[in-house]
Amino acid sequence: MPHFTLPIHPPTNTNTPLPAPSQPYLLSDPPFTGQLPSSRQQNPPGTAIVIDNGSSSIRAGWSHEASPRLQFPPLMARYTDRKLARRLTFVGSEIYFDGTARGQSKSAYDTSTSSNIINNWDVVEGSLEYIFAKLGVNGQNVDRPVVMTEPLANPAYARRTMSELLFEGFGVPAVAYGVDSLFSYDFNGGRTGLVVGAGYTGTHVIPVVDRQPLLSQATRLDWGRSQCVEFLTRLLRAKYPGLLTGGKITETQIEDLVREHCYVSQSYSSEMLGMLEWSGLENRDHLVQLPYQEKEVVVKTDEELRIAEERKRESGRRLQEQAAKMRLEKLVRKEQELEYYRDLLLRVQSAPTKKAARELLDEDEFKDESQLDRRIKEMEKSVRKQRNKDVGDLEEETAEVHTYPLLEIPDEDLDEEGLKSKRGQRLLKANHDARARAKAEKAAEASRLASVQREDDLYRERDFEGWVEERRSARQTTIQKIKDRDRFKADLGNRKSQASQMRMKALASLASDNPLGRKRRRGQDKEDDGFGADDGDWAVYRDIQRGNDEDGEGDEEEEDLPAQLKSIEAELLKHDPDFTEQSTQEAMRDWTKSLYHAFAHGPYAFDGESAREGAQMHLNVERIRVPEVLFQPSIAGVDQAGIVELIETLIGNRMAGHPAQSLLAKDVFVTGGYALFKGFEARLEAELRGVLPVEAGVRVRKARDPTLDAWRGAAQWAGQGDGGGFVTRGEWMEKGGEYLKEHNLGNVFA
Amino acid sequence: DLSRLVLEKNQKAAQTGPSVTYTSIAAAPSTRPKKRYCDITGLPAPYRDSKTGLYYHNKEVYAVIRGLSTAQIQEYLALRGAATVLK
Repeated sequence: MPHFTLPIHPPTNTNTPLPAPSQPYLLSDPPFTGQLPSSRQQNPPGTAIVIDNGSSSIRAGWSHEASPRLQFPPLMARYTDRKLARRLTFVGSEIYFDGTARGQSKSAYDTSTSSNIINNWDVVEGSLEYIFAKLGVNGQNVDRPVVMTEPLANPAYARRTMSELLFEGFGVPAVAYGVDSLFSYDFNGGRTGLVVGAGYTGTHVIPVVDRQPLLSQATRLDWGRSQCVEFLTRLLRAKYPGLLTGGKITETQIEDLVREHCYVSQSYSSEMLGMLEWSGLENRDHLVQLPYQEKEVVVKTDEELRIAEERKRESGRRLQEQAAKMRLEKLVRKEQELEYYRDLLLRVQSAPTKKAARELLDEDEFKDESQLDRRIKEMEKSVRKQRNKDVGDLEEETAEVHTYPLLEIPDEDLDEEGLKSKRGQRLLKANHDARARAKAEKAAEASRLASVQREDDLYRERDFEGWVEERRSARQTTIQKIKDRDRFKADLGNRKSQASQMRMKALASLASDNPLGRKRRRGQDKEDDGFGADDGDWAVYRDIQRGNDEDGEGDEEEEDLPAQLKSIEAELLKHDPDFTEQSTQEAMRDWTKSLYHAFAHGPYAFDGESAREGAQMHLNVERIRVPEVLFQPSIAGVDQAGIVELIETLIGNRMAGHPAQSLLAKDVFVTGGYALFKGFEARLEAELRGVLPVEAGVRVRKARDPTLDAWRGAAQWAGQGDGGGFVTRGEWMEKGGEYLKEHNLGNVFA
Repeated sequence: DLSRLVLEKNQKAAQTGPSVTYTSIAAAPSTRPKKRYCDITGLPAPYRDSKTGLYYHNKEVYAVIRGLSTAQIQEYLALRGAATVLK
C-alpha cells in the first residue's frame, strides 16, 4: 500500500519584523473653521427656537427647518484684550481662533467630574446670546418660544436658573423642557421600547410604554465619550511615561483618537487574546506619530575640521611659547639670586671680623657658612638642570652614578652627615630596585599571556570540538553567574529575603562588642578577638556591601562578567561556524517574541535613540479596551453595572409584572454619540440575546442620525404645536421658578 | 384597626418625597463576578501579583511589573480604582 507522509514544517523560530508603516496617523489640533453663519431672514411667527443642550455640543435652530443651524461645543472665553482695550467674547469653536482665547476657555459643564448638569451659567448665557444673535433674533426681547433639552432628572435648581436666564435675561415668552433621547425616540417612530441614550457624559436607559416614559425605572450609567477620553489619556500616560507630559497633547486630540481608532469588539475576551499576536498585528496596531524635534547631528565638513585642528594646534603652540618665556624669566631670576649668594659668600669669607660675618649671614637668615654653601650648591644644580632643559646651553651632566658607596660602610664609622646621606642613598637604591623589579614583572606577564594564547591556539587547531565545547560551557557559566548576581542584588533589596537577613546578621556581629557570643573562649582576650590577623577576615566587608545600582563602584572589584561574556562570544563568533550573531546573548532576547514589545511598539523595530520613534504611540489594545467599559465598567474602576446587566435587571426584575414587560426588548433603540462606535448595536444585540429569554425577541436599532435626531425630534414636537408643555412667562412668574409642565417627552416634577 | 392604619401610614410615607432625582437614577453596582484583565496590557489575566496587587497576563508582563516604580504601580492601580488614597 502506498504510504504517504505529509511534510512537517517546523514553526519558524523568529517572527519577521516589519518595516515602519508608510502613513502613520497624525494628531491635529482643532482648527478654527470659521464663524457660523448668521441669518437675517424673516421667520413665520409660529415657529419656535429649538436648542439641544448637550454636554458635547449645543445645537440650535428653527423648528420648521430640517437641521439645526448652529452646532458648537459649550465653551466660551471672555476676557479683556490689553492691546485693543476691549472686552472680547469667543463662543464655541471660535475659541480656537486665538491662543489667548483657547487658554481662557471655560466649559458650561464640570469637566473634572464629567457630569451633564450645567455648572457654569456664564457660559450658558454667552452661548444663548450667541445663538440668538446668529439666528437673527433680538437678544433683549426674544419673541419666539424656546424648546430646550435638559438631562434626565435635571435638578430643580438647574431648571430654575435656566428658566430665570431665559425669562428674565432674554425675555423669552414661553419655554418647554424635554429629554433629548426621548425626543429622538419619538422622531424615529418609537412607541413602546427601551431607549438607550448613549450620550457624552452618561448613558441613560429609559423604558417607554405607549409613548409614556417610565422615569421611575430609568437608570443612568456614568460612562460616555468624555470618560473614554480621560481613560485613554491615563492608559497612554501609563504606557508611554514621559510622552504625554507637558501639555503636548490636548484633550481634543485624544478625543479625536478615540473617535477615529476605537471600536466596540464583538467578543471581548477572545479578541483581546488575539490582539497582540504577531500575525496580522500591523492591521490591528495603529501608529500615531506625535510632533517631534529631530536631534541635530552637526556634521562638519573636511574644511571645517581642518581649520578647527589648526586652531587647536596654534593655541597649543602659543601656550607652549608662553610657558617657555615664563620659565626663562624664572631661570634668569634664579641665576641672579645665585650670583647674589655667591657674592655674599665671598663677602663673608673676606669679612674682617667674625662678628661682621655673623651679621651678614644673619641678614639672610643663614645659621652658618656651611648652610650658605649648601644653598649655593643646590641652586647651582637646579639652575644647571633648568638650563639643560630649556636652553640646552650647558652639556648634559654626567649621569647619576648608580653606586651607593656609603651603604657598605657600617653605621658607626659615619658621622651625622654621613648617616643622613647613607639613608638617602638607601632610599634611592630601594627605589631603583623596585622600578627594575616592576619592569621585569611586566615583561614576564606579557610573555606568560603570549604563551597562554599560543597554547590555546594549538589546542584549538588540535581538537576543535573540545575547544568549542569548553568555550560554550564557559559562556554558559558566565551567563549563569550574571543571572545569579542580579538575583542576589535583587534579593538584597527585599527586606525580608534570606540574603538580606544574613547581611543584617553579619553587620550586627561586626558592630557588637563580643561577636563570639556571651561565652568567651578560653584564653581569649576581651579586646582582641583575632579579627584581621588572617587576611581572609577582611572579605566580610565585601559581603555586607550592598552594591547599590546607583553607584557603580561595587562592580570594579568583582569580575566584569559582561565584558568576559563578550570576549568569549567574540572568540566563538570568530572560530565556531555554528555560533552566529543570532545565538549571542543579545539576540537571545528576541524582541519579536516579546509581548511587551508588541504592546508598546507594534510589529516594528524600536530604536530608543531616534527622536521620531520616541514620539510614537501605538494603539492596539486600547482600541477595544476603551469602549468596552460601557459593557464592563470594572475595567475602568467604575462601580456600576454594565449596560447589559442594567437592561437585564430592568426587563427581568424591575418591570416584572408589568403588562409591557415582554414588549420592551422588541424595540431597543440606541441613540447618542456613543452609538457611532463601530459594532455597538450588533454587540448589544448579541449580548442581550444571550441574557434575555427567547420570547423577548430582542431587536436593537439605531437612530437614523444618532447625533442630530434629538434636535429634530424636539423641532417636530415643537411644530406639533398643541402648546402642551410650554410654560409661559406669566405662569412662571406666578407659580414659581421650578414650575414644570410635564409632557410625555420630558422630565417629571420632583 | 391598628394593622390597617399602620399599612396606610407606611404607604403614605413611601409616597412622599421625590420619586425621580438625579442621584436616584444612577445605576447600582454590579452583582455579577468581574472579569480580570491585565493591568499593563489589558489581556485577560489569570494571575495576580501579591506584592503589588496588579493582575498580569504572563511571566513576561510579570518581569515588567517587577521593574516598576511605586508611582507607576499606583498609577496602574488607579486605572481600575484600586490605588491607595491617603487622606
